[in-house]
Amino acid sequence: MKAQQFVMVDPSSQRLSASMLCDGRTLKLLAQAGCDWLDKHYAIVNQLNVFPVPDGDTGTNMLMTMRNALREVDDYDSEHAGQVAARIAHGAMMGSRGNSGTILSQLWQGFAHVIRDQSTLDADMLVKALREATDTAYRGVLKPVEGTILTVAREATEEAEAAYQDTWNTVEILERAVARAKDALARTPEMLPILQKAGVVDSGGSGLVYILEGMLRCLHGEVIETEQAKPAAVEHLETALAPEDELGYGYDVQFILKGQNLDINRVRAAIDSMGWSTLVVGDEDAIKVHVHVHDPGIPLSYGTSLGTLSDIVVENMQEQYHEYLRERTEQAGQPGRSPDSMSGVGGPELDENDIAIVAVASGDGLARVFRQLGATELVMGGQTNNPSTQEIFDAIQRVPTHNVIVLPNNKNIILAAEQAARLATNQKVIVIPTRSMPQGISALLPYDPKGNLKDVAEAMRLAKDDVVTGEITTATRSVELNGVDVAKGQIIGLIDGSLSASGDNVTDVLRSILDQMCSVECELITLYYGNGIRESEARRVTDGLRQAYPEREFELVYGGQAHYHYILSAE
Amino acid sequence: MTTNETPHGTIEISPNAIATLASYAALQTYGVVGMASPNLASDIAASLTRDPNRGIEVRQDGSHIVIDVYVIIEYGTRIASVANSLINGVRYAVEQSTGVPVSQVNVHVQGLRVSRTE
Repeated sequence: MKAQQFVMVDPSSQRLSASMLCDGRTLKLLAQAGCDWLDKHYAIVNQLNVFPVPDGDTGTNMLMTMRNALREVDDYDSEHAGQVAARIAHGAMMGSRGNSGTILSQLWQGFAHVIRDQSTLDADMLVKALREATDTAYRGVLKPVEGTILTVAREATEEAEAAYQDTWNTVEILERAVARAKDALARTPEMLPILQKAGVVDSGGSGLVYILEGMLRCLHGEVIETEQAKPAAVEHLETALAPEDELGYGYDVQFILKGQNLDINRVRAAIDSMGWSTLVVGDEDAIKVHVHVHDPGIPLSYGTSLGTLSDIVVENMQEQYHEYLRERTEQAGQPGRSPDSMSGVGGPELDENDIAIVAVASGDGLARVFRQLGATELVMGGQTNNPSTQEIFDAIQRVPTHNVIVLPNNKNIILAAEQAARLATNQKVIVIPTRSMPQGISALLPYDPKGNLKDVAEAMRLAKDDVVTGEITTATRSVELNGVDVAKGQIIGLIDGSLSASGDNVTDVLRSILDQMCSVECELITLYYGNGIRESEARRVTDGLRQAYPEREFELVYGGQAHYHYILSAE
Repeated sequence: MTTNETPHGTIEISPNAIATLASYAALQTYGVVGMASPNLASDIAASLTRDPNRGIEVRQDGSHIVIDVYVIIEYGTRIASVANSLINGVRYAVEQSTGVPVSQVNVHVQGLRVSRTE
């Protein structure tokens, strides 16, 4: 919608494009288009990690870096290309994430440095700026590795320089540069054996190609549509466990509100006052609303007063409640790991001197388990959708206590949790570095909300190591690692994060990793089955395991996690 | 000395070998433009190896390894991002090659290099 105002150069008008000058506004649009195109494809970039488990974050890191860069020019309207570039470069540097994000920020800095005094860019300046971008990026590392984002940047620059010998048409120069960048990307496996072995192209290089391609598409006049406001990963637990009151369970109302200059904070406050389990996310053009109310008409009318509504969903939660009751009954019928802590659904009431728990859960079933064990606030997220520092920080802020313990439950989330803990200066926050869901669950067992923060944290830290974690997932690509050969699409098993078994069916891999996991004594094995597994199938698999390992006790719990067919906890 | 018993014999990995692996991984990290000399006054007794040329210290903490890395970082990069990549890269390289868990990688930024002068 926004992009249509940016009528770019008409490629058919040779005279105009030949002398096309890029000013600050155009540069901002191009950068935005690059970011948007990456936004559409960052998940693909994430998939290009060399380890066969879906935990790549290069695409996310580069996207975050671009978004942070663009935030600097969000309300900065200047025709001066050099000043716009300087702000973007500054934003990219301050907001850079990961290796590829850092390189991307260096590219922007080199680019911005050359054009700092230029109000407009022509072909000559463009090529010089690309050269300095590449050179700056190469200066940032002592031993540049070819077959990476650096190679892609360098070859694109070389092609731009060659094209400049033939034409002054900036569109044509960029077309050739992008084509060469793609070509270089395709050749990265030839240059870097680890890529060849994993059967992928370089992820950072791929991210750069998407950014450049987005810019080129914008130059061609194409409008890149980005998705509507995405539903946030944070889910208030009340969504799953709606409280009963005298009016019954009410309705679950969801819609997308589209309008202009929407004030998200005001909308959130208004929606919040209407009901409970509020979730309001979005930007000034589109807001996703989720709320539980007794009268669905109220939020809908409010939304209509601000703009147009789409994707409206109204559900009677009485039905959901029945389903929840059914599931809870099923779970209660299973051998509980700790009857005392299982009984208190929703955790105890906390006063401000108590200790609260913020836990990250990767599925609705696991969320329920954490809740039952006393977690105060949950943040939804896991392997491929790590919650941000902000989301964890928000959850810490929502708890009513001064003392908070955070369970990240994934090795990739520990850092974000630690950053969130540092941000929460009004509370005492301790992060227990739990690397898996079972570790988090195990850590919760000694949790005592009335205890001394240091003592409880220490007890939980020790308890997390009482379990061995097994994970069963599908390999996203072929690889050979730790002496285990894996073909893409095969089932793989990990023990405490290391690849330990592979096979063609889940049962075989389960048995193989059970054999390896239980070399030491372990009595109770809990299987959390994922959202891709039917309950009947999970029961069948568990029964098979009970017969194969009669000396061990098996417990089956719905985890609801994505990607991982089963998560095992052995204690 | 890191020792690993197998049914067919023992594997010993010297801190020097680990330092070489760590050094190589550090120099491959984007943003790291040099290794620096650690402060010689610090903690000599606890250090199993010290190779100031490489700017790496390897210590053993039970069955885990602690690695200290002393580096020069390129001016203009976000130091926190580079340091995080460095930690991940060193840990990955050492664990991947030796199979020994690395409990800590500590980054000491000893200086910044300014490539562009004006």
